[in-house]
Amino acid sequence: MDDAEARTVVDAVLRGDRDAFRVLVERESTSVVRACHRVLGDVRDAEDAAQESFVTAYRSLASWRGEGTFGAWMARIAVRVSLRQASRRRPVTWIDPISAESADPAHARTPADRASRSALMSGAIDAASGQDPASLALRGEREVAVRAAVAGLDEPYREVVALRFFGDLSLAEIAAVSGRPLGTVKTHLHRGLGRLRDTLAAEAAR
Amino acid sequence: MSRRPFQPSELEGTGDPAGSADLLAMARELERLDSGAIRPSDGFTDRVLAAIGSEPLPRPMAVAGLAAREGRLGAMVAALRDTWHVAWSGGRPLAARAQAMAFVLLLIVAVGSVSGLATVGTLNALFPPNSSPSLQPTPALLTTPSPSVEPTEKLPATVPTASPEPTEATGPAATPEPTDTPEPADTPEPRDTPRHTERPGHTETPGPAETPEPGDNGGSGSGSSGSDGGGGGAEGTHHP
Repeated sequence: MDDAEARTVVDAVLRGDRDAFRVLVERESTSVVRACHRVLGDVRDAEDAAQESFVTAYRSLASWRGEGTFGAWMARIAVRVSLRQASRRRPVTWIDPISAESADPAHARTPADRASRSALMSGAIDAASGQDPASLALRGEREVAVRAAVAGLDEPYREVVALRFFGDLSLAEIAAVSGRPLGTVKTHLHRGLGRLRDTLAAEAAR
Repeated sequence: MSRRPFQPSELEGTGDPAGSADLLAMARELERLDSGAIRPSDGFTDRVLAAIGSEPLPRPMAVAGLAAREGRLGAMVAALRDTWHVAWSGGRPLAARAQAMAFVLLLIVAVGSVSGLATVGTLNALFPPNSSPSLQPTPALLTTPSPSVEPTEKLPATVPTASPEPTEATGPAATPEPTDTPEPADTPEPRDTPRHTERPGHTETPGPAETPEPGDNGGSGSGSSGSDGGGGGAEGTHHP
């Protein structure tokens, strides 16, 4: 379905045909759920956020005037809803057995342990290659830190970074859907990535 | 992996190329967060449609207009209810809410004016014969001020042409009423009472009665007892 068909379906919904919205949901649900999952990292949370995104899109359907594609418009809503949900989350305290041992002076962490953990947290080691439980746990911790860092970015950097990497939009699509010039979007992406790098480096150094 | 892999060219021309390697590594790490195997669970579409089933229509004003044109009263009432819901509940774009609020306000004004006209019409229908003559003078009074105001404003501009008109307009309407107030000036009647108090003055006018006194004094003698004493002495002098 191209955007002309999407426009036809949207017009039908605006005329009061609720069932026509099913076509749009079936068309966009996979990409919307994936975008929400990239932001939130949990399947159930992602489906909840995706459902809320579709309800928000239905309420705002009259405001889609075709500045970008319908998929880009939906992705923007999904990323916003997911980021808002992510920022509402309470920070999860991960139980680190090594840190728990280090509380006891008899089980102090060795310098080698600290160095390997710091390297993994800074992303220097490809955590995906490790299959042992410790590597998987550390990889999960790193992903949580990266998602939290994206959610903690200031606007407009957060939106541009999230739309590019979580919403899977091109820079031209981001420019069209957000109404900003392409050069501005590029600059925001560059600065947003720089701030993310600095935040995560400071996180790993702690 | 992402459907649209990040290209280093997306960072070109935005900053120093030395730090681009770090930023590219950051971008790659963000791409690794993607889990391409994720799909919505079965029944997701039905759940979404059930969720929007309780929502008002996205643009109820247009639906209300369409229903009104097609004569579907139930759909129009439902759309108006949705409009009210959109106007006064949150979670919607400001433009949509403002549109719905404007529509609701317009509807309230229209309903209010129609009901006002219906009330006036009912009152006129209930009390037509007796009240109609008494109401007729009021339009006459309403019409007279309007010409009188206009000429007074024209007075400074065109003195000769406008000034006669207001005097003619106001003359018949206002002056007859003040003439009624002199009528109760029957106060002249109280003036008659002071005239009666002046009549005692007329009682003093018997002054003319004094004029006959000189002739009548020899005969009467009794003119005054005081003069009798003096008079007696004089009479004694005249006799010798």
